[in-house]
Amino acid sequence: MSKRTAFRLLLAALILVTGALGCARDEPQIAMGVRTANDHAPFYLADKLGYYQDEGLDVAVHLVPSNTEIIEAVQRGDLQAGAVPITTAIAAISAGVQIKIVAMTGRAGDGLLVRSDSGIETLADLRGRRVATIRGSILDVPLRVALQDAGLDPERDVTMIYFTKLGDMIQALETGQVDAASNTEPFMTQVERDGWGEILCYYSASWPDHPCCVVFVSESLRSERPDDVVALMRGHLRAVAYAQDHPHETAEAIVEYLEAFDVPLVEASLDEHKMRIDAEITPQEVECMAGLMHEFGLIERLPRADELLDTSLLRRAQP
Amino acid sequence: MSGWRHRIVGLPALLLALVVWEVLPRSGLLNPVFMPPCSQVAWRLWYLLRSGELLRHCGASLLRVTLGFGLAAALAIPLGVLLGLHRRLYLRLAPLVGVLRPISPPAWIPLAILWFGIGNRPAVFIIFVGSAASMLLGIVAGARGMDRRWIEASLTLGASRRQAVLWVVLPALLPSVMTQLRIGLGLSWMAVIAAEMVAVNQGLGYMMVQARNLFQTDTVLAGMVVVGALGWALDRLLLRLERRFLGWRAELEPHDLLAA
Repeated sequence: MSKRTAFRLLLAALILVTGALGCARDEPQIAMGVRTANDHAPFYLADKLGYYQDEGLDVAVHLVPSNTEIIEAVQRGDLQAGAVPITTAIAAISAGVQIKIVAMTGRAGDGLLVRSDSGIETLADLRGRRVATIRGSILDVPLRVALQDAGLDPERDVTMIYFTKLGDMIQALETGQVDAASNTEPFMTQVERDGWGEILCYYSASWPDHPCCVVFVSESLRSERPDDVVALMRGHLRAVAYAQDHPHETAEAIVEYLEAFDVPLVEASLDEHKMRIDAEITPQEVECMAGLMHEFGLIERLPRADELLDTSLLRRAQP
Repeated sequence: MSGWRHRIVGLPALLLALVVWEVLPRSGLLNPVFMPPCSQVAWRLWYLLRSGELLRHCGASLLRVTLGFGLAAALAIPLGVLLGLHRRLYLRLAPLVGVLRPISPPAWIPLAILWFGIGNRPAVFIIFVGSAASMLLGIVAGARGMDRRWIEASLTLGASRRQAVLWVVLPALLPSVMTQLRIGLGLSWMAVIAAEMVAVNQGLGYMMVQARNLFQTDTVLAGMVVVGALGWALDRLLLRLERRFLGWRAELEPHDLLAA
């Protein structure tokens, strides 16, 4: 081998090694999928304020268009953690997806919208009316509970119209295609501010402080790198505490990540009688939600509590 | 190759695909949550059929496809013939059709809700827009590509323009129209999945979207199998009609150049 060839081979090897090191450095320790929603604010804040870095953790926070896609990406291994409505996480675990719920991120914040001129003043007035919802979602289960509380059978006394997008439901309500639409914050406050619609009720009236979105991690991350999950939880706890104490800055972060709405509107929608950012989670509330989903025929298999969640990592992260 | 052999010649490839589909998820090479084995999907199909759910969804989708495709064909056939035989009209309308054709059916969803509300009407509209423009352009191309000498010969022999259209142009265009109808029907089945994402409570598209949201992949795959089977069956029906009514046309054997 000539000196020139040896030099070229050495150079090529050097480039390959440098490239590989560069790639390895670019790979985050945890890639996380979240949505554009009020109760996903802790992830925007932790990312923005460097809370994950403070824990020595390199976390990439990705905004993903749908809850289903977050779960699918975790299952493929593209993401290792995420935040989705508790109903999505339960449906995924029931179907055999290898994830575990580890913390809460938000409670309540969902309810029913009606048009201001509809004449609907109570839930009981919905008898015989058309109600828009997203089947099996966090807008659906508390809606069914609220209707039952008002003495209505969700399958018989109202006509449930199933949509796939929040915006389509609001449009259908505004144009009179449906009489009520299940929705969430900050869209509900927005509709009220626009003047054509009003909030008939928040589901927290019939199910106080019910769980909304949860943090989950893949089984492989939980079993192979539990300390990283604990560090993630520490960052999450700090971000939740910050969000609870700084509604204005939280609203600013939400507007920045959502690229929609305005700060006063989002701040109004974060009001504590509407929703609550929270990290604590109990097995009882997760089991209760799973039981209701099973009862309503939304999941075929009722998973055991230990399949659904692991609160030990959150406890380890608490000061 | 004799008749029955002709029919079963594709069976080995189909059986092999089914065996591979069964083995890969069971061996762990494919994640069974995302790709359940063939037997699980067959079991799900049987369950859906027995519960009556599948028939309900099939009926709703068939109704929407029939209406959307029927309306699209009712517009595309006469307008396609007209544009194919009227050059100035074609020049005026071709850009409009050309712009509308590439818009995918899901892009019409927000407007469909605004214009037609909820229920069957927006779904039928989405199927209509998903198939009409393609059929129209195909029929126009067939009419414009027709052998001019046939028309000239009929006019020379004393036929009026009306007679030439009725007795020469339309029969000559029928094979091309039938081909476009088959393509349009296929497009309608593709559009029905998007169409049934719009506030409907039944239909194969609805069933598949709901199942996807609840991670019931076996139901999604069962829906895909049924959509494929129904689309294929309806295509065979059109092919039979074509053979029955266009029996006068000499059937061309596909070229076997590479196998020769």
